[in-house]
Formats: sequence, structure tokens, C-alpha cells
Amino acid sequence: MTPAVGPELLALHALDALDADDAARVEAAVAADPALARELDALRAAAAAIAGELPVVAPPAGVKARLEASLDALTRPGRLDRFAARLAALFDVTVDKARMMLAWIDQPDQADQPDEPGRWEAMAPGVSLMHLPAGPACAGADCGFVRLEPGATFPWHAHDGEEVTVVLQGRARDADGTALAPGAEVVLGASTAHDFHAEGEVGEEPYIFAVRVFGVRFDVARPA
Amino acid sequence: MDPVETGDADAALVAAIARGDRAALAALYDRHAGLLLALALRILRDRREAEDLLHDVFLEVWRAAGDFDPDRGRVRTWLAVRMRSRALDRQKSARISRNVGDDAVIERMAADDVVETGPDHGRVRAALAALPAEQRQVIELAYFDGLSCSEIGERTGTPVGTVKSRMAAAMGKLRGALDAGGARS
Repeated sequence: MTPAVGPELLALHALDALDADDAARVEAAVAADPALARELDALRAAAAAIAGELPVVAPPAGVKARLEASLDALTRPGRLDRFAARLAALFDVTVDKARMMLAWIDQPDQADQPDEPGRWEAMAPGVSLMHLPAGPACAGADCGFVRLEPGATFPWHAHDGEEVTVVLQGRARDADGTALAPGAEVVLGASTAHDFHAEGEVGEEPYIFAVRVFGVRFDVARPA
Repeated sequence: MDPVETGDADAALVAAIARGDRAALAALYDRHAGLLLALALRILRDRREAEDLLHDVFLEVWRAAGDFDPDRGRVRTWLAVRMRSRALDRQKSARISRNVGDDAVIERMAADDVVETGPDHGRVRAALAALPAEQRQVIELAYFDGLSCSEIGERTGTPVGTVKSRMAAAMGKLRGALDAGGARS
């Protein structure tokens, strides 16, 4: 026989403020008693009113656009889906979320809100970045997509920690002469530095890659 | 706006979403995204994380709309419960680097907007405003920071029994304010 669950325990449970043992006791009692379950629902509604006190924050338009693109990605195949599993591993997200991120690539550029995750922002002539919300394993890393128009050069920079890139589309050439094409994966260690140049003619498809880098600096001079 | 119609309209949207209606999801987003983003920001204090979570929660709504039971409560509560739970999970799993700038964002937003939260808002708001500071503190630490009674006791240097009685008293008043409206759902 479970000891009775009084109104105080129920009220505290509505805020998830009980320790595990008491919470389990309340859950068991609620599962057995529909009246108690109704009262807990009412208490949770009262608790939600605490959130109702917050002043609303209008979301930037990009969030809704991204939601639409993600729903598209869930319901129909995407042109870059073949990279989803590798991206999921790179960014510590589910394969579904990786497919959605790949669908965001074809989102229009934005000008209104710099630094918004999941939207393209201009970084240098012909170069755009999209920051991505990666998983816990990527804490401290810059994660995102980088896009170079044909002929554009990504500025010389140094890596403080490891950089992993996966090429998604287009062609480029690294400072050391390495040719970069879709599917290529490049791992560079800490204290490396480079730039790279997107190949192809103006009007052709841009060079796009996914990147995870633990610290990047642009305050380094390119060797002569 | 007629409060009952507000709730019914939300429930109708969720039912349409469960049938795969994308326009209904967009409409539900327009009605509630502002509150849910505010909640995520308050818990996570990081704009990027909060916006990403807003996206994820609406994707979840797309998948889970069929689980919504209108007899158990309002859509807005259902959404807020979901957002709070995901935000607290995320806060605990990822060490989010605290972004001081976002506090300023929250404060600035506070100046120019008022939320419409449905039928009982006026009464619950009054009940919240009337809570003694020490009662308000404990429910906010539980709701926004996900702290248990014992953790709140440790953080505030208050005996856990006192924390519990303050929290229960506060919840009783909020619950009573809902009841006074006669709106069980």
C-alpha cells in the first residue's frame, strides 16, 4: 500500500522539485488515481503561468524559415542527404538533424541578423558562413558550413585546435596544392595554417564544406 | 479575445497538425513562438541555443501532435511544459558558455512587450505579483533553473522543510487563481 500523496507533494512535483524517491512515489500514485492525475495537470498549468510572466521575445524570421526547410527535409529526399551520416558524426547530432542542416544550405542569405545559427552570413568577398547548433561533444568548437563563390579565396588563418572538414559540393585547391572535391575529408592538427581557393567559373556552383574547428585565428600573416 | 475560443482554436490547430497540416503548424508557431523563445532564453541565457531549441520543439510538435489530449489541459501549457523540459535537459547536458549579452537582450525586450497568455492570465498574474518574495524565489528557482527543493535549500541557505512549505504555499495560490476563473482546462 503506497502512503497517501498529499497536496504539498503533488504541488512540488508539478515543479519537478522532488528528489527521485518522492517523485517516483507521486508518479505511482498519480498513475493509480485519475483524480490525482487531473489535479497534477491543473498544478502544471498553474506552473506554466510562471512562464507566462516573461515578456515575449519575437523570434527572428529565420527560425520559422529553417523550420519549414527542416520539415521539407523530413518529408522528401534532399540533394545532399548522402552526407547526413558523416555530418551527424562530425557535429554530434542525429542523422535527422544532419539532414535538416543540409537542407538549410539552400536557404536564402540574410542581412538582418548577423551570427544567427542556420543562416548564411557574409564573411569576406565571395565567402559566406553558416553557424550550426552542434551537440555537446562539440562544445568549444566552431561548427558550420562555409561557402565560396568560384574564384573566391578563404583568408589565411591558423587553427588553435583540430579542424575537420568534409567537402559537400564544388571544387577548391588548398594552399599546399591539395585538390578538394565532394566527399573529401581533411583533418588538420593544432597550430596549422592555410588558405584555399575555390575553382570554377563565375556562375558555376559554389564550393561548400562542413567544418568543425576548435579555435581559429585570422591575425596571422601568410608566409611570403 | 474570447478566452475559450483562444483555447479551442489552439486545440483545433494541434488536431490539424496531427493530420499533417503544415499551415496549421505555421499558425501555431505564430501564436506561441514568442512565449516559448522567451522561456528558452530565460532558462538557457543563450540566444543561439534558445532559437535552435525553438526549432526543435516545433519539429517535436509536428511529430507528437497526435499525443495532445485536450481534456488534460491547454495547448499553451502543453507547449510550455515541453519547452521547459527540453531547455532544462539541454542546460544540464551541455556546458553552455554563459553569454552576458543575452541578459541585456532579455531586459530590453522586457520593456516593450506584454504577453497574452489566455483566460486566466490576469488572475494568475495578480497571484504571482502578490506572492511574498521568498515564495516567488523558490518557485522561480525550481521552474527556470530546474533545482530540487534540496538544491534550493543549499543554494539559499534555507532549511529544506521551509523551502517545501514556501513552494507549496505559492503553488496553492497560483492553483487557486486558476480555479477562481472556473477554467479547469
